[in-house]
Amino acid sequence: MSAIVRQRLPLLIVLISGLIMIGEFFFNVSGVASVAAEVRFLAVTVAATAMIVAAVSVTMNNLRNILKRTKGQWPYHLWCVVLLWFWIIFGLYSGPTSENYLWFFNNILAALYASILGILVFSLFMGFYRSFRIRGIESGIMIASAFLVMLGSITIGDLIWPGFAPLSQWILAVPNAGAYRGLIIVMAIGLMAVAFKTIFGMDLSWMGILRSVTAGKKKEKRP
Amino acid sequence: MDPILITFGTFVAVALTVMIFSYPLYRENRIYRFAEFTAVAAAVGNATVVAVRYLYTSNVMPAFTGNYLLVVEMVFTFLLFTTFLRKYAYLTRLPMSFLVGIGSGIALRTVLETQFVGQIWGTMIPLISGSKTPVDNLIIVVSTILVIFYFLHSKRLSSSLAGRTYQSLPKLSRYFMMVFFGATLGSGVATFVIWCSGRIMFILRALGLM
Amino acid sequence: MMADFKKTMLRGRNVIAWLLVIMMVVIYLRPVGLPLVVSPSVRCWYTAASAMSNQSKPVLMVVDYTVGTIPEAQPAITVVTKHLMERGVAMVFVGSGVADETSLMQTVFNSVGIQKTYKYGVNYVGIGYIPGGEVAIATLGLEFQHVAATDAYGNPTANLPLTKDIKSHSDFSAVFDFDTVGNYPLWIRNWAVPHKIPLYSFVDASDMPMITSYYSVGQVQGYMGGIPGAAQYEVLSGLPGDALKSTDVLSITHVTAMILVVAGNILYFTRRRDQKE
Repeated sequence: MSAIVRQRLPLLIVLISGLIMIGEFFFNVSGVASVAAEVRFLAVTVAATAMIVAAVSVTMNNLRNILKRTKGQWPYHLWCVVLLWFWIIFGLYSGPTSENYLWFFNNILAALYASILGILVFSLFMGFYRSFRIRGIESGIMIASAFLVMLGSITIGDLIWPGFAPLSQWILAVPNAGAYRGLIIVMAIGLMAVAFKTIFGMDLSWMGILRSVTAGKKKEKRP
Repeated sequence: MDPILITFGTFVAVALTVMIFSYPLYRENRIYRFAEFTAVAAAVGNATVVAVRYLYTSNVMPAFTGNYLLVVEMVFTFLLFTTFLRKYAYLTRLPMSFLVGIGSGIALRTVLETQFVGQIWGTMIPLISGSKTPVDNLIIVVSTILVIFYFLHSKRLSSSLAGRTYQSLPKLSRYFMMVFFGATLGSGVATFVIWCSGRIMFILRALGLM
Repeated sequence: MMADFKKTMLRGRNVIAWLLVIMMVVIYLRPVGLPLVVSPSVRCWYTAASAMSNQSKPVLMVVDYTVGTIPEAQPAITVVTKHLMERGVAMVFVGSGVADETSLMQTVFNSVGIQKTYKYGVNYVGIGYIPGGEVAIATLGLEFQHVAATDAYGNPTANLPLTKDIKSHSDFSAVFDFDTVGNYPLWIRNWAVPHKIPLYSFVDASDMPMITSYYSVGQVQGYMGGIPGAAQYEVLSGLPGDALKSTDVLSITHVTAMILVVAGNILYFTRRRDQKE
């Protein structure tokens, strides 16, 4: 019973829900469409609940550090838990679109995350100075392409030579578009293969099982 | 809102920005770490607030009008919380399997039409006429085929002329991919710069200089 | 302590960081205002928006960016919203990327002052964030009322004049997607291609080379790439904003990036030659 619930039942659910999605697309049957609609809404509900699980998970991880009294760290973890639950209670009470909540959102969350992303530029520019070396034709092409696109997208590029903007547009529209199109097609093949394997139970990685379904089985000898 | 609160809010935002910027402009320090933990708590708190409100308005409120199926669905998704109980953690797979199955099904049907057939169809462009020049169209077709060839070819190479010619094709593919990576890098600089300069603009505005 | 401070501040990373910050401050305080070249993809978007009116079906405005990318995406959504407001076009705002989008949508409403000219429920509706990623995007186009049963303020969408008759994708004239989370292929796959709904997408500047492939085969009708794209739209619409203010900063920092690459290479090859000798 446990093995059925642990592995077989989830695989069956994946198979049925995947086939419903595919069947709805290829067959115009009213019964399938209404079942598909309900199942899709269930998936949306699962995604919403998963976000609440994240809050509990963060709380438990931080509580572990607080109880262990990790040297130099536990006050930060305590602050994290206190702020987290204050935020949740206050947010549920006032609502995410209220003026008071937006005060916290804009002055704390937005300020912090915008700054965290903002400091990445310093590492990027450090990388330009330390790591970008023209060691061969390939790196030369990459840096030349980067320079031309940069000069075509900035106002000063137009002052230096008016041809930079059309050249940059050409690079994006012709060789770049062609190359990325090849990548899109190859990625689509890979994505379809993974989706197919997931629906038909050949890929169990989403369950945390990394071995293949046929691993360990002896191959039958053909006469 | 009270102007004092607005001013205090701006002061808090500037202070938090300076705390984060202290890391690259000076070095890692306690105020940076404090700001990091604040960011984690705020982000997870915000996500939880939005999720709970969504569940309440989409699943609980309709139950008051008689649609109990939505409440049953929501209670079923609470099996996700069993991830914290080691003995029953496998029950998490039940609601997750819906998400995985539906996501895979939708991806399979949409990727095939859009990113496989649609892009191949878009590559079937006339090499003689059309809105772009013949050379441009030829470059697009050749680069697309070469990049696909790079990832899908698996033939063993011989040292004959045909083999050596075949061997040069992945090199050509890499050149086209380098154009793409370079264009992404060149375009990406603007993204990173704006993320930083946006905060600088905010601080200058807060100080009344802009 | 002073020696330690001096040593820390003279590290290469700190020097470059301070150099960048000082450059940005100087340029913001003393802007140059160089002219901008408008790209065809932005012009397509502007032309399409200009052709809409209060008789058109509502536009689905997708708020798909995070709090961290506000400096990049907010100028774009602000200028497009203002442009559509000038034309009297009805808008439905929704988010499909991250939970921040509900509050971000409200921030956009406050910054453009939509409440002053538009009536809520009649001219615009804010649904907010819907969890689920691609599943939510697909469901929005197939069973709109089911997945967006209420708006961000708790009002049932079936009771609002603008959304009560919206059932699926065909009830929208276009999708204007402001995306920095990388969801634009999902909108292409679930709305633009299967249901032929015109899709116009704002993307990170770093995603611009990728969306060009979709644009060149007609799966996306127009796009804006980062702040340069938003600045071009501001020029076309005559509604200057934060994007135009940032173009000079972009110019100087890009030139600095190129100088750093060249300088780094010159130093590297000079040292290698000296070591060989």
